[in-house]
Amino acid sequence: MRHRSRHGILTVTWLAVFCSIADLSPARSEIMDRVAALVGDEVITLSDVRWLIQFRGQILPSDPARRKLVYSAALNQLIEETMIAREARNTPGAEILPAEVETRIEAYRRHFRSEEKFQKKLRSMGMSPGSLRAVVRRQLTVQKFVQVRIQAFVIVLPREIEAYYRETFLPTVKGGSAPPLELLQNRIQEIVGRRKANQELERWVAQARKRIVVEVLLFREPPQSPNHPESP
Amino acid sequence: MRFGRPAVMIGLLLLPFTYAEASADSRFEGKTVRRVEIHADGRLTRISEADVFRLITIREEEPYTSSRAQTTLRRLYATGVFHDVQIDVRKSSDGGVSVTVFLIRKYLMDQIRFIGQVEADRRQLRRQLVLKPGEPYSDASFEESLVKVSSFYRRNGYHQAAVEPEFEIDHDGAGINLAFRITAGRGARMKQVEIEAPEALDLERFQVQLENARGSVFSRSRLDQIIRRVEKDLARQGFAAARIREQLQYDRTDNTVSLRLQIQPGNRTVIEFEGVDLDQQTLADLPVFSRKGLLENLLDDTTAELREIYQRRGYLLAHVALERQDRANSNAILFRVERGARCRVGSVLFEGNEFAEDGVLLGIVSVRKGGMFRSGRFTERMAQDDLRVIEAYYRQRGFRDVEVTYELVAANPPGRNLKLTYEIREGTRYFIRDVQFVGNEELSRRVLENQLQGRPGTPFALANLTRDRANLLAMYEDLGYRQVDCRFQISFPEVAAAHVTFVIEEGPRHFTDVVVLSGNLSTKERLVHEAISIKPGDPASLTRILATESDLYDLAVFSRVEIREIPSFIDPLRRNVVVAVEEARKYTLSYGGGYSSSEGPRGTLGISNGNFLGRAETLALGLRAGSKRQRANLSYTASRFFGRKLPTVTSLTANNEAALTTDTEGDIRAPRGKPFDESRVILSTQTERPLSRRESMFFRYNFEAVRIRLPEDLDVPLQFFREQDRLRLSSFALSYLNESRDDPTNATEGFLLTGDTKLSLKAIGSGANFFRALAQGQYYRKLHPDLILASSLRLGWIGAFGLAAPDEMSNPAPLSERFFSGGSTTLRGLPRELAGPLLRDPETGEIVLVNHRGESDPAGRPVPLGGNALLIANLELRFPLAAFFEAALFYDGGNVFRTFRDLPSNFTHAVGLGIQANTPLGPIRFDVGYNPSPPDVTAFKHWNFHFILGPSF
Repeated sequence: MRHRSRHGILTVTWLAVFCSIADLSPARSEIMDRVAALVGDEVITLSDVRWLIQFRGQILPSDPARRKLVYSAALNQLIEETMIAREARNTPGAEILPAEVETRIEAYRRHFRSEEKFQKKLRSMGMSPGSLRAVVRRQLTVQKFVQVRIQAFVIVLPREIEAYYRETFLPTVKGGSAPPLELLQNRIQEIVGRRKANQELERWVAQARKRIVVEVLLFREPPQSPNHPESP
Repeated sequence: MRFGRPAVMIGLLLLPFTYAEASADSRFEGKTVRRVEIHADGRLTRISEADVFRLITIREEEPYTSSRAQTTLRRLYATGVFHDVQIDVRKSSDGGVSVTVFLIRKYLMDQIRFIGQVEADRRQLRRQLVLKPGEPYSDASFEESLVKVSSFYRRNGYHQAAVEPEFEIDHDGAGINLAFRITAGRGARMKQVEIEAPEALDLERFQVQLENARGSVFSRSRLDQIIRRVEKDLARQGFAAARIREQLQYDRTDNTVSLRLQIQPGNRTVIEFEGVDLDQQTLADLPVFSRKGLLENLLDDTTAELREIYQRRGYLLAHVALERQDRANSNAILFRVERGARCRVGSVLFEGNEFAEDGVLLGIVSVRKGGMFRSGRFTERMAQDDLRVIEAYYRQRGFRDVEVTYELVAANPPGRNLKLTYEIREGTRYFIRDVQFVGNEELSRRVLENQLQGRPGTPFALANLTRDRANLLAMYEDLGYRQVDCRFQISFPEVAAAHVTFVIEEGPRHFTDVVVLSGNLSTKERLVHEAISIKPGDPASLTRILATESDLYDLAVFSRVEIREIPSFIDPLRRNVVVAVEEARKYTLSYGGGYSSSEGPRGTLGISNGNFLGRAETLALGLRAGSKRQRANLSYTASRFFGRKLPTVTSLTANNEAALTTDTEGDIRAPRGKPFDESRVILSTQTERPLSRRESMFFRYNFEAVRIRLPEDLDVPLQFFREQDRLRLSSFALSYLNESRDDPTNATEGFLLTGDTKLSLKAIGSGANFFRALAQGQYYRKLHPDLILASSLRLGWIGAFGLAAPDEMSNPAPLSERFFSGGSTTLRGLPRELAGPLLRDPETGEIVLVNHRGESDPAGRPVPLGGNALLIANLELRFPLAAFFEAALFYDGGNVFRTFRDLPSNFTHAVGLGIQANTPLGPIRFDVGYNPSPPDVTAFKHWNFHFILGPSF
């Protein structure tokens, strides 16, 4: 069959796939996991997104639109983390040792009253020790990459500290006398440094998005081959 | 999805592990999985369901976990077959869960074509494509391809070209055929051509060329050619750094293009020559004119090139000097060449070499001394290369401090000859005293030592240690140690002794988890899996991956085999292996036609199925039709025989050859050539068993039925053929081949051994009982870099056995099976195939002579009868002449005999000279053989001339 119109065939394919999937998907069934996004050839799954939401301690809203926003934000963060992790693989000094992962997991474990409760929590999230390690490794990689490649090059100048003190801090002081700049210098340096690092990271991420093909499949319904030439 | 501010903010990187409400998925955690199903958006053609289930880690009657679901997703996606994978879970009535894995296939490009009014080279168009056959389709790649194809047409002057895509989608196989329908339209014509350049530049002839282009259809390649020529010409005028900018303006109203070339000449550096008599083309090809780069580098290269050119012409002492001159408006570079007298290397000597003999060193250097017919070979570059070659030779043998220099001086007495001397300071020879291994836990010292070339007691050579290191790494990698590292440390505790330590870091061992086959459409899976030597649970071995790749290609049904290792996503030390194959086209059609004066018009047709019934076997039919000769051949080639890897070819051939014609009264006549018609049916099956890399055995069964139709009025002696008019041969054959020649078409070293035995039995339908054996040995050796000894010995015997009639005992085999000899590749003192017994008149006993029509003729040629024994010895001394010509002095001895008892009386001798031209198509040879005692028959002469394409024996 030869098709001149891409959109004509789109409808046919779309309906055919929809019907075939729909027939086998009873109302009570639920997509528990799927490919949420592709970053180059790396996969981010729906469960990755869910785990991140749970890590953040967010409660999913019941309103579908707001729920989607929460998913979207988490997915966006995972996409960026994956991009950074890809870059970090080739960055000297950004390697993560197994001991670092274990130390971080141990830190998490201390939030729980007992090992049993920690394991119970993991099970309730559907996480295995291996998947927890993978998540922690990715986060540590991102953290180290940012330290090595971004924060290491951020310099906060005295005039930037003064400007922050004058233009941002002082207007927030109501009544009384404001603490002198000398007293707040270190704190302001930290805030300004973090802000500049965030701007630098923002720039880096924007450039990385141009280099790496990112495809989001999570909100594509019904399921069909997204690389089909007649996909919307 | 739109992206704005990065989601990964530095403040959020340290996320606390908090208590959160369990999300919806935890409802199924730990529930027993009652059923696992897969559901794809179409037929799974590139991966089997069994392989999909192998990758699914959610198992029936085991608890469901999100972690396993995620692993399943990643494993399935990593196969490259799916674009999306989704896992659906629902509660079942008994408290468990049912899991459905939805698979959304990746659509791959099958075929991309260009149709319609294309007007352009399709290969060039294909280069514009980002989409490639066999790769996944994506909108982005398609759009980019479309844009590139359209802009290709515009760049080449087809501004009105329309490119329309037409998709043909195979939903069943998830494949896409894409055709770009091209309407190229008319090419734009050149309207205005302008060159903007300083007046000082001499560009007149290019202006004329560009003027001539006005009015013609714009051509990108022609414009590029002109620009390149302008650049070269400017370089010759001293503007090597000139920049040319082109501006093309298209006018839609009249479909024309206006061209403007802006030339910025840059600084002028005039290149001049003194003492140079090279032609324009050679000058233009000098680096300073033909290459781009830093001027200093180009000048150095040009100096070396000029010296090389003159040395190649025989001016071995040529000297090239470079002079820089500052002038008013430019810089000038002068190459001053002092050629000196034409001379040649009269002798190549080695001094200081105690270890290596002169002959050995002469064999490895590229410089050659001149001879009577040759001017020899010498350039400074060759001599420099030789220094490195000699040093490498010595270092390889333990002389780590060797130093080599060379000197080219006038010979004594002075004249045209020069003396080239390589001065060698060998230094101390080092041997390995001790080898230690550190860090080897998996492999013992003994096992590791077996991999080494550099063992204690052997000469110390860095190159050997590097190779040893590579061997050790390969052995570890083969055992699954993919992160293994190995380095060596060397110390010299005393003079002439080296101590070597290999420091090994084995790292973790990796294993194969699941092996998945993808892309196989019609080949039997059993067959493909047999070729895959990677098995689950085995160490992740690189050798096995390479062997599998090679074995799959050996099936000859796949055009592409790619083996990818992907993580198992369960255990970091386990890997899944995806064997991705792409099937080649099954059918091949070939056809051809021709005409010959003897046969008239003829045609051939061949059709073959390279993957017959999906068994990776070939069924081929070949037909040849002509007015005089018809032939049909059906063959079946299997890579296995009775389940073993023994390539086997079975063929049935029918051949009909008509030499006779009938006259108007229906009488059969033989107008020319052979005096009979011949029909032949051959059934043959042969299987090959490779014994080693260079040795093979062949087993063959052959059945041949021959029928000859003769004219009624044959001369009496020629009635001999009537005995052969119906013939059946049924035989088993066993052959052996051992080949180690460096070049089978023109060998200089090595040997060839072949043996062929055949047993023909009446018991299996043959017309005669006989045994035939033929053995041949060839041996080639370089006696000197310029002198090759080539030799060959052939020995054959045919014998009767069983209950044979007396006549059969003396002549057991039919004519077609007897030995024939004589001519350019056997005995060069005899005419072609006239060695051995000849047909004699039964009444007079005289040798029968026939003309080309098969009639008795005193001026004709004898009829050879072939013999039952054969002995041929050839000996040649080959040496080079000028350029690609070489000469050979040869001796040929032997003959074809009725029996070996006739050997002493009928042995022939011949000596001769051959001239051979070594061409890219193989050797072309002209031989003159002198036979001191030829038979006293018209066809035999003292001097015999032979012309041959290919080797002499």
